Amino acid sequence: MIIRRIIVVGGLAALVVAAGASTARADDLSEYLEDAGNAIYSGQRLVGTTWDGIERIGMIEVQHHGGFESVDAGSVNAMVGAGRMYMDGLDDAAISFVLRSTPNLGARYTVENGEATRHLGRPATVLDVVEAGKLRIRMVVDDSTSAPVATQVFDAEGEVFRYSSMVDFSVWVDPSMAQTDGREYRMMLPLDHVDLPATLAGYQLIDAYAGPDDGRQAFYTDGLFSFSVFTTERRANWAEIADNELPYTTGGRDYLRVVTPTSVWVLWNAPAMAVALVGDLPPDHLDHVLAELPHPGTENWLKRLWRKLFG
Amino acid sequence: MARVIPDPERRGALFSAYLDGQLTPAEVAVVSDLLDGDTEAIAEFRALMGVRRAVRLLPELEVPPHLLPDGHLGDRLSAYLDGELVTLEHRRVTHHLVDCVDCRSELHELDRARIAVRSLPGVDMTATGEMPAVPAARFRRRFVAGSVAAAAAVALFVGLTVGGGDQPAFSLDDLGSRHVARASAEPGFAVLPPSMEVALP
Amino acid sequence: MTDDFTPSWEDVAHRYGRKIYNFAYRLTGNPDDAADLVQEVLLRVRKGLDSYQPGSFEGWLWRITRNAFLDGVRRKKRRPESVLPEGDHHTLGSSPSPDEVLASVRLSDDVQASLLKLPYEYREAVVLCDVVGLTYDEIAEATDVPVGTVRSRIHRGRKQLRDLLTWPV
Repeated sequence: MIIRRIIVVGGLAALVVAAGASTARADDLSEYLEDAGNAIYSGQRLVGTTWDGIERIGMIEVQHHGGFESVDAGSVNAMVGAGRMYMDGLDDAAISFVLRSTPNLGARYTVENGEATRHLGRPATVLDVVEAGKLRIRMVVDDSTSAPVATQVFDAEGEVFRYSSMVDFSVWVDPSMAQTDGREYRMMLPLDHVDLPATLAGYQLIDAYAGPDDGRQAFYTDGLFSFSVFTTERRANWAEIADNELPYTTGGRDYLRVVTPTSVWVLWNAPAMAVALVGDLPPDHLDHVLAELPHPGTENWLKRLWRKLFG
Repeated sequence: MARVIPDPERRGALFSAYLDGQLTPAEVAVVSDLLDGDTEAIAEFRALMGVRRAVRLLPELEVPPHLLPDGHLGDRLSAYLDGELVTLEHRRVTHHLVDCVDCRSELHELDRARIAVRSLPGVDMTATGEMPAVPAARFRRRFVAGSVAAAAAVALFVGLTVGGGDQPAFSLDDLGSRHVARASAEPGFAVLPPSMEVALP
Repeated sequence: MTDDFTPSWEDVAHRYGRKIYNFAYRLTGNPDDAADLVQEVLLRVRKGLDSYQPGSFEGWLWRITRNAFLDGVRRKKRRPESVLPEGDHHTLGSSPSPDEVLASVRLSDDVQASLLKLPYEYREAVVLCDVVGLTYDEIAEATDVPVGTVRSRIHRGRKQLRDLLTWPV
């Protein structure tokens, strides 16, 4: 099955808000993120990723209000927030039971105040998120609304690999936007246990869910970026399932990769399982995470048969 | 357009309602104007934002369990998993599941058993055509079936070797929406570009 | 909850019991009063659910809750303000660091104590908005006043809280 759509996942988990005076002493990343969730704005957002010469750009119409963001990317409309996702054109949306993760994971990053600037003629503040002495994200936050109006995410070499910029900005929002009453959604069933590491290269396993089909989903975050690892005990023909996948080799191992303007997919078959990783993590983080997950490979057919028959 | 400057009381009320997302678009535009470069207004706005957050951060207290009835879902859970509930009942069950850890945990157990049964290889090759109820039963029954099991194993071997027909039944759409839904529960997620479809070249 | 959906009594209890409890606790600062209110509201919901006409369920439920609360206050012939807050020490579920617990307890004690100093109408509006999470329309329906009044009560409540809070927010 060739799908015609690629869902691009929530890019920069980082776009944060600055509340002028309070930013001077606030160094808690999650507090910035919390504030950003309350911002009210709308506009057009240009997003893009450049990764190993692959370039993906997208333009999205966004409305941000009441902790939800509604997104119009031409052929699809979606509304996301508070553990729920509603997407036109799909039968289901999903809901997570977990309303927020408890660990404070912002310790990996520090936030530094930058200078005053302007974006689209509006007063704004530059904020830098620094990881181990290196700039990881530079963001521009609109002073009056706390909306993140521009961001750049840097890779290990200090190059911008992902960016996002409001090219049109307004404090107007459609108040009917956040109406989700009456819309059906699909439950995600939480799992007590999943056979994956509790931490992966600095990312923490927060929780896990059953599905889709007989698969499992494990959700990891470091407080800023996040990804999910999907596993299923059947091997998958990813080339058929995915669209626009390209070979990707890291650490001497071969994967398939799909780069989108705001996220990355990595797909492979490990012995006894198919694995898909999707998230917004930077290239160097991705490579470290992949090194700690089951590696690509095939299983001896006799072992496979034995496992299938006898568990 | 003439700009109307509200009195301080009304201005504060506008800010407060803005933070709650309760303004009309016209009023939102007024708020934006008020905040544009007016440091006094911005200070007031931020103070209200801080108070609002402080109240919202009050920990949510657990209601003592003895106050609530024991209204668990029982056999409705299996019907729910099998998609056999009609709309109203389905919604009642989902509403209950959101709040009830016990039922979620039972649902999860049922789901695991269901998945285990559904992932049995070669079951439709057996003479009986009957699905065993739990994984433990499958081993016994398979070898009671004797030669049928041997035939099934050969068929399975061919299936595995050739590799056809065992594709997981999901798309990247499924996976993506699940990741987005989960990630959107994290603080600040909704300020990011959350999800969209991109027409790839 | 959507407008055309009438839940069962048990659903109401499980879905809203905690919110009702928190509503009463934040208005009174007293766990016993909060428990009494949950029982009373569930009783009234059970009796009233058959006659409930699909409409705004939230508005209906919170009107019942508020009336039950005010009846209870009248019965006890005392102002809820007279009850001292007990703090939230016993209720922190997860296991944050001692510093976080301390900060959180201090802040929540401070907020709770300040809430209790607000005039009832303001306190009620702030709690329904920020603790229960109702929209202004729902608060208007529950408290039987125009939306404009709700807006002004919430704002005045917050403004007074700003002056009352000693913990920096």
